[in-house]
Order: sequence, then structure tokens, then C-alpha cells
Amino acid sequence: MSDINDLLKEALTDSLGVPSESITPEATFEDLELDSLALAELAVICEERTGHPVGDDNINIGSSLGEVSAFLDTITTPHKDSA
Amino acid sequence: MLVLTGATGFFGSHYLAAYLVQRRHDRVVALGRDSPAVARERLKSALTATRWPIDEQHLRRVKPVQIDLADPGLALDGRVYAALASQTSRLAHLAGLMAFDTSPEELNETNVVGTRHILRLAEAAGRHIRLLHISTAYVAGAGTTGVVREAVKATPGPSLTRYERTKHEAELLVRRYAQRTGRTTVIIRPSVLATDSLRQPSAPRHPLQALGAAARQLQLATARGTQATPFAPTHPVTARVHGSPESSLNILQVEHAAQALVELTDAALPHRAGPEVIHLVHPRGTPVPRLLDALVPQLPCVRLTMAEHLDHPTPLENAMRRLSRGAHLYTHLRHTYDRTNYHRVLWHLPDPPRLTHPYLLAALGTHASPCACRTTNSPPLHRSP
Repeated sequence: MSDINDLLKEALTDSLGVPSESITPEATFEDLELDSLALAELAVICEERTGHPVGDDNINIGSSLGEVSAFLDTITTPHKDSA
Repeated sequence: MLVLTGATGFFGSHYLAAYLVQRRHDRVVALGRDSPAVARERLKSALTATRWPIDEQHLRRVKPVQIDLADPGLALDGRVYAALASQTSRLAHLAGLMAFDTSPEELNETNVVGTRHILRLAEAAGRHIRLLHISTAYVAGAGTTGVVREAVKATPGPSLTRYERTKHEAELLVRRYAQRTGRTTVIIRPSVLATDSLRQPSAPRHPLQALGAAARQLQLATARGTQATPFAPTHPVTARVHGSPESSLNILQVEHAAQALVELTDAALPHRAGPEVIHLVHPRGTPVPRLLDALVPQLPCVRLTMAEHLDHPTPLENAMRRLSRGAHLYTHLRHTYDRTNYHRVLWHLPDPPRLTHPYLLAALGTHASPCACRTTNSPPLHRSP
């Protein structure tokens, strides 16, 4: 996934004060110098805005923004039945 | 990591600015009621209004976190609360409501309930946490004279104001926390903090600045002389200020107080069973008549005198009392403040400079006001040294 979804971008810039130029799919939370407090806040913001639970495993210090974006896409995209 | 409340207030912004400049690698969490985006703007505005050279690099080290002091869990999600507590090694509680014309409920909610919830956060943190609780030197009760000791009074006794009562109740909560947990706790009691630095309109105000603004408002009303004002002097009028000519206020330069608090954030403290109480006060009180002298240029139509008893106040005297927003309650005090603990811990800090007449003029924001009366100046009440 090349694009970081808007929700993640907005949460990182507005709520956590991450400069927008630092936000790239490859950047990890460690690269952005976000600590466990910031990750806990991010998880809560994502839960509030998507209405889906976000477990600690899905957002951790080594996660890249691309990975988290992909995860958020998964939980926010309506599930399609294959039948 | 340092966590603080009240970072956008007058003392809080000076403390945080001094801390960021002097503790170059530390990160700070600023707890406040605004959303992070709004808080960042307010922090920038408040911190850059201080004398410290604050730039974007400093501001980036401050992380605002939105809380509600009225909520036991600070209105934080449990995970965020736990992460915050686990990272907190220094907790400075500067948020408070200093007002004399507000409801007891509002004062209680911020000053007592808010402190209780901050203590809860301190308990959730590691046992090596240091709590710095900002109280006030004006918790001495209704007595007008004597030496105020650096100790928490066990019983409240009569208070001068409801504000003072709530600050004393908060001190009792902090003392119980310190005795129960055995954790390092400092109760810091600043006096009236002020600065002679030119303030931007958006910067947090200090009490002397508010007093100067009230004097300007009064002068404009007298100069306008419309029917809407209860007095319209065409001659200089004499107005009595309710209080003792012997009274003094303790006013301290905020820059000195901020430096002292930065030192107290890390300073070695003697081990004791309860909290360390430290007065952040000026070694010399400022006589109230000297303060009134500094108001003379703002009130050229009014000759101020002091009266122990204010019988049959005039409309002007009533207006002065209303505009002073509670300052008149302190014009009878002749306290001196014990500084034993201060000297023991902060022995290396030089005393602040004397508060000169030009300093007071600048702190009050004094400048010449328009005058409708026949003379341009009233004689000073007290000649400054």
C-alpha cells in the first residue's frame, strides 16, 4: 500500500503533532519518535473513528505506517461474500 | 519524563519555557483541556511570550494530551492513562483557578477535585515519581500579621478567601498522599508572580497586569465623564483604598520563580516522611502604598489614600473595589514568609533583584492616561527609594 489513509494522516499530524513531511509508508513509529503513550493515543483515535477495536499487536513501535494503513483499510472495508 | 498541568498559564508557561531550554533532551507531556491542535497553538503563543528563546525545536518536544481534571481518570482511555502513568517520573501540577469572584463549586472542582485526580495519576506512576504541587503563599489564613511557616497547617481555620481555602484543602490532600506513599513530594508556594516584560495581548496575564488594566478602565470611565459613569470628576478627586498603610504584598519576578521550579524538578531533597514545603517569595515585601504610587500615572484624576475603615464608600471607591476583583482583600496583610527550606534546597540561587518603581510601572503596564481634570498628576503616596 503506497498511500497512508486520511484517518491515519490526520491522527498523526493533528493529534500527535507529527510533521506531515515525515509521514511516508516506510516510516515506522520508532522513526517518528512516537512512544508508547502516543501509540496508545493513536489506537484510541483509530478505534473511535472506525468503530472497530484495534489491538496492541496491530500498532506497535516497529510497525510501519504502510502496514498500519493496510490494517485500517482491512477493518474499515465492508467484507464481501465470495458466494 | 516530565508531565505537567497548567502549561499555558502564566507561571506554567515560564516554567515550561525555562525547562525546555535548560533540559535540552527531556520530553514533556502537557496535560490540558484543549484538543492537541489548539493546545499546540496556545503553547506556542504562551511560551514565545516569555523571555526564554523558544523555537520550533523546543515546541516539538512538548506533547499536548487532552484531559478533563474533573474526571477521576482524567477522561483518558485506560490504555492511554496506563501509558502516561508508566512514563511519568516528574509530575508538576500547576493548573488551578485563582479567582475571588467565582462560585465555591467552581473553585472546589479545579483546585481540590482536580488535585485529587492528579494525585491518583501520581499513585499510578512508579514509586520513584516526584510530585511538584503548586500551591500559593497566600494560604496563611485570616490573620493579618506574623511569619508564615513552610509547613502545611493541620486545620484550616478561618480563611481570607474561598480561593485560599481550596488551596489549603488541596495541600492537605497532597500531604496525605506524601505520608501514605512515602514518595518524594514538594509543595511549592509562590507569592504574587509578575514580570516587567512587555506582554503580547495573547500571552497569559498576571495579577499586576490585571490590576493595571483595571486602573486604565477606571481612568477611561472618569475621563469619558458620561452620564453612564457614576462619577465624572472635573477636579482631581480623592479616593480611599481600603487597607492599612503598613500592609505589604509579596511580589516575585516570575523568571526567578520559574528558575527555582526548574531546579526543584531535579534537585536533591532531604528524605522526610511528609511533603517538603518551599516558599517561592521575594525576600522583601512590596509596601502596598508603593504599588499604589505606581498606579498614579494611570489614574491622574484620582488621588489615592489608604484607610483602615472605609465608611460610606463613594461610587468611585465602590467601582475601584469592584474592578480590583478581590485585590482589596490583601491590602491589610503584613506577613513575612519563612524561607528556611528554600535556602536549604536552593542555596545556590541568588536572591531576585529588588522590585524598583520602574519595575512596578512596567509590571502594571503603566502609561500616561487621558485626563479630564485640571491637574495632570497626583502627588505620590510614597516616595520610592
